[in-house]
Amino acid sequence: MLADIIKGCRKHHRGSQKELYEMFYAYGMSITLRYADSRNQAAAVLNDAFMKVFENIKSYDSNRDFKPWFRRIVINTAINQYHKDRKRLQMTEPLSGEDDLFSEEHIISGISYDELIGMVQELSPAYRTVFNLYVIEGFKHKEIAGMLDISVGTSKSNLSKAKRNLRELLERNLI
Amino acid sequence: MSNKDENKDPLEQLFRKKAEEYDISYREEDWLDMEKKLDRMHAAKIRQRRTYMTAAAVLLLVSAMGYFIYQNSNEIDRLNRQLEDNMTTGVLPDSAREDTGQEPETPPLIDQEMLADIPQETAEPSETTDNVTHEATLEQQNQQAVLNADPVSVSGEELAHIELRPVSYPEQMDKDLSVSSGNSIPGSTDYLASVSYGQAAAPSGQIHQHELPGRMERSGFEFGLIVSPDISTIGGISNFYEPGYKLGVTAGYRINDRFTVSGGLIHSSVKYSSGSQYYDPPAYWNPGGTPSGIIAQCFILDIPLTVKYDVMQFENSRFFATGGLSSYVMLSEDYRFDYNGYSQGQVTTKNERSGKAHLFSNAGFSIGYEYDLHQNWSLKAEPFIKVPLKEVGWGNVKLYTLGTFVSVSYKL
Repeated sequence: MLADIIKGCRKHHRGSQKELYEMFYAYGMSITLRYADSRNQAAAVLNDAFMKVFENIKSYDSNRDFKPWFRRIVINTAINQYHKDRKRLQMTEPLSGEDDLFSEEHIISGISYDELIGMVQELSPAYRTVFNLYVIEGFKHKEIAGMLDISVGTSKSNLSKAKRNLRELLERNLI
Repeated sequence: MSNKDENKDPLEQLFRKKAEEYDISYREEDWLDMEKKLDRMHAAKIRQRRTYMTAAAVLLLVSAMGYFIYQNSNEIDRLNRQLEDNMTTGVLPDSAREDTGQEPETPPLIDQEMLADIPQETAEPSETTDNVTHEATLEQQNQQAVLNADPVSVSGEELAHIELRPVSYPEQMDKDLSVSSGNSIPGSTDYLASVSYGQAAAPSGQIHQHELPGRMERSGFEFGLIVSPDISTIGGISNFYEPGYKLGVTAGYRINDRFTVSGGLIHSSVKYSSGSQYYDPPAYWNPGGTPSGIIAQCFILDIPLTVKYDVMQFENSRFFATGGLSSYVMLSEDYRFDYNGYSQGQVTTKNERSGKAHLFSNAGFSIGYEYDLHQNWSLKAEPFIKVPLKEVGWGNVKLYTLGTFVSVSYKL
């Protein structure tokens, strides 16, 4: 079925494009929401990503899984958006020091997906992007440094600060 | 790439786990926004296609026009040469007879202006003169009169529009010529005007610039439109990919009879493919693997500064050679990376909109042919090569480009 949809997209059939959009909307949004400040911004980034998908669908190798290809494009688009917004990025200061909040796993097990995304979105774009790339996408600091044009040290520092801020936010929401 | 299993931080584990538990509802309005983007893209593609079609049509038209002008010029040159040969032997070219539709016995006529230039004693020779000697003398003088028909006073515009006009002979000449044994030049006189110019300017067909007064009266400035296919490659002149295009404007100034300096702004679509060995992206960039191949599509503003030298000059055309330096401004760069074995996380695309300028990054050389369509307009065909002096672009590549410029220039 997906193969037929992609075939239709290659022929620029609007119906096939919509089918693909609906099929991967939630998955794409689950990525862009983590990089964006709001749902609307996440939807805009996702649409930019879909535009790249439709423009480059002919270069997609049908023998490979579509999902990683799509994921890669969405992440790249989110990073491009990060670069565009970089000039107005503001590095937030650390909220507080380390605590032992996460030594008790049961405390955090009840947090919903939406709450978690809400917390990530509260991070500054620089922290949030590094956190997502490292923790969720699984990139190494050296790779992240290359993607974001920052040093490895900055990547590590931003991750550390992102985690510290998230702990602060979790503590604030749970207690 | 993966560090998921290495890190046991509970916070990271929590976010990693929760990230998979998404339940996001579909919003139709997001698709409507998407549709607007798709519509805009579709409209842009249609505009681009129309632009290409128009450019192709113009190129075809210009090429066809150039071809017909060239053919016509060759035909005229051939007839002139034939006439020139025949004037010495007195034989009328067949094609001239066909063109004029006149029979050889038709009494020729001569232009009164030319008659005035002919000395009276020549126009009215003594009746006691031997016919054969007189014929030779008269013919010689007649030709001389035509050749001396003040070629210097003929402007460039007149030259461009010079036509084959019928000329008339005086009765006496007619009589004398008809006396000769059928070796007169009736009919062929239609071509005297062009013959007179050609012989007066350059018997060999090649002329010097100072012999074209009309051209020297110009300001020396010229402006042009230029188009060419762009066949680019990196690392060496091989392994070409898809052709792009070059489209731009030029401005030049003729500094003397032979040399012209010019500059331009040329929008270039550059496409090439390569292995990673010729590719040197920034050190910090890590694509998550070594690409086996790279395909690039870049838009570059090519700013050439060239010196043109007219190697051979003819009546209405010239062969030339150029050399110069080009500066490249990288408007956009889109790269696609192929891997022998793709794995998740490997970077497959890269887009740059740096606008970075590379001053005098390439040297350009060309040879070409220029044909004057009119006193002010000329058409050039100019095969060229641009070789790298510096690395350009995000990938720091040595870019070679081949193509053939076709340009139309207007001389002020």
